[in-house]
Amino acid sequence: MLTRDTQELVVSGVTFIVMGMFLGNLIFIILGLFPIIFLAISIIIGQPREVTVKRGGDDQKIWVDHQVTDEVTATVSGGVGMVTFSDVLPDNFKLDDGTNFKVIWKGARDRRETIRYTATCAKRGRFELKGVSWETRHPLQITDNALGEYPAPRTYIVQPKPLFVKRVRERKAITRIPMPMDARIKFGFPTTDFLEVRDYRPGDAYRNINWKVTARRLSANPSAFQVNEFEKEGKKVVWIFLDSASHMALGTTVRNTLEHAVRATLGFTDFYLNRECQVGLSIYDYDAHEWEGSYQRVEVSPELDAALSKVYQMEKDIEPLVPEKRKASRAAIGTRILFPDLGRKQQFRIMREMINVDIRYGGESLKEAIHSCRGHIIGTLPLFIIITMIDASKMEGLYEGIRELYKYSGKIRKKPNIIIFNVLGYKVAAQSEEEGMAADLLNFRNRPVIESLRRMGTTVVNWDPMEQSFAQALIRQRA
Amino acid sequence: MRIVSFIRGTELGIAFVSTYMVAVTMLQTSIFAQLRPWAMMVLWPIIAVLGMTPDLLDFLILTMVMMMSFLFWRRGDEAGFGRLFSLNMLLFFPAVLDFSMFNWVNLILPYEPSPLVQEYWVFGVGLILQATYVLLRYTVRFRLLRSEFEERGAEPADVDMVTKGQMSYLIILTLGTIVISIAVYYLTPLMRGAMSGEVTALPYPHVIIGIVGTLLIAGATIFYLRGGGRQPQRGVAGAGQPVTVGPSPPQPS
Repeated sequence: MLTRDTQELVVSGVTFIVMGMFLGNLIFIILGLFPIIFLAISIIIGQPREVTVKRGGDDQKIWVDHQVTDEVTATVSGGVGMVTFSDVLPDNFKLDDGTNFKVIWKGARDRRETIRYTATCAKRGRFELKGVSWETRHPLQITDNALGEYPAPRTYIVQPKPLFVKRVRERKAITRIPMPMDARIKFGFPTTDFLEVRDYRPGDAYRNINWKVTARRLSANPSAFQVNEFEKEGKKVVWIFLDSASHMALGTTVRNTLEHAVRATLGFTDFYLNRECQVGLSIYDYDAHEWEGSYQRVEVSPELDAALSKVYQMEKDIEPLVPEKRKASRAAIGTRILFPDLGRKQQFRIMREMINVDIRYGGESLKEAIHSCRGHIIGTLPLFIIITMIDASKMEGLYEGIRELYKYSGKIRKKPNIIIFNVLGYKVAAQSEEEGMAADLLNFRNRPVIESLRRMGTTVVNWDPMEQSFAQALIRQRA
Repeated sequence: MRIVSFIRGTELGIAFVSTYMVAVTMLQTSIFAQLRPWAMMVLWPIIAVLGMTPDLLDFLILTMVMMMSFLFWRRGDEAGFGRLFSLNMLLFFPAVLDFSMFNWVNLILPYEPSPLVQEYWVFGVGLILQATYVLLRYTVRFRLLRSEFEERGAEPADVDMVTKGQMSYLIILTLGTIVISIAVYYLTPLMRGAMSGEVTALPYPHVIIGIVGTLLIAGATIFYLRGGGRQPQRGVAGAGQPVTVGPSPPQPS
């Protein structure tokens, strides 16, 4: 399309020509041709026509808050003009160094330009860059800009950092965070999942000696025989229930309650997997408290109007009571359950799930989630960890869920085997001192609820991620 | 030297040169010779206040138009340069009338062209005016484009390079157009002789032929430019990627 600017030039040229004809003046006519010749030459030269882009490096897997470095090389040919190209970063990436946007001048010769940048990934997730956007412009903007995107895919998998619980060094700091009831079993049948190579200890089977590794080490310096260690099979089961309701979004996009809950989930996973426990994971929705079984469609009540239409009505007509519309059944969101397993494979599976978890990721209520995985609970005495943000105004779902858990676990020897890990989301959201005070008030309002949960036999762990480390939160529960 | 300062300096030089040349040309036209007494009468209070002699009327007019030119340049926007172009054309018009075949002015007042400058001089001044028009028109856009790129996060060095390239392109293009225009101007009399026989044989008045020719030129130009704006982008996006044409994309984060 012609731009307004170009049309003005053409009109001015034609005006000169008409005036020249009117006056019989050759000077005017030639001057009228001036803008037309000017435009014609610039159109013949044209704007850059070919843009190709090449991206260096490979896809990357990194931790949250770590940096990625990328390099994009663009080659421009044909025409003369300006070219911009930009590697548009996902919203949660922060550009630290370099630039992801470049403008270049393409002269008579072909031009090649490279951009490099370093960015920090502030949020977990899987981020895919599809292509590099480019734009070519005529030097005088006589013609419209040409836009396009050159395919240059790149995937970043940003993993959340687990909150590791370090080895306890002081007797005073021993926590009462329980282990599963079956944790007394120290030895189990070895599975086929390789764990590590360790020094030989008396009692190890000879067939487990790794001769290759032993020979390699002995060739360097004297050392013990090396034995292959495999994951032990055990019945120590830990179930983690992670809340993904909308209230978990409290805070900023990057630092919100859910992010801390995810890190706590990974912390628990790491802790218990390292202690040869089987860890299962289920993601539920705190707000979805109504019980709808296994998402069977609720039958609609039969239409009575048609049946009663022939009945003679003696009373005066009254305003019909409009029944409150029944809530439509919730859309069945796929169950988010990872059944208990042990070892690094399970850690990897949970990590992969944690990369994708988001608000309303799981659609089931806690009760429904427990019901969905009951087949793996029955027959074991698992430890249940519910990671959530307690909200005094919406406790129905949590109470129902705990009652459901008792059906499967019971209060054996009055030892609580349910931990409610309460992430204090209001503190996460507080940005100023006043907001911090308001958050304290809101948390204070939850105290009676927490007491009632404790009376039900659960262990409630409150965690203020802004002031406490994960380990500190667990240690404080010893009293 | 900063690029913006260079552009503004260039704009000032172009504005002054064009206004000075056209004003000097106007002062030597037949129409101004006839209007000089009127001009003297209008400007007499100023001449008297300044204590100037009547001989310095030309100098006064020259100073006034140069000041106006400076004020229009000082605005620095498209409207300012539009007014500068209007001023220049107003001053240029009497000079062109001296070399017209049809003496329309003579219908209003007795007027016999007797210019003090040659036709090629007037044509040269006209070319300067047209060059000024396109140069100033685009330098304004270059400055706006710089701001746009800077706001989008481009490196200042890259933006400077783009502006330098644009300025070079504009100057070369303008010089090329001037050369072609001069060639056309000097070739036209030669072609006139060759074509006059053919044109005279046409059974239509020359005015109709001229109007039809002008419309054809305008139509062909627009048709040509429209086609140029939609040049296919060969293999730009590789394997069948769509190419869109439109306004600038949103800024990247």
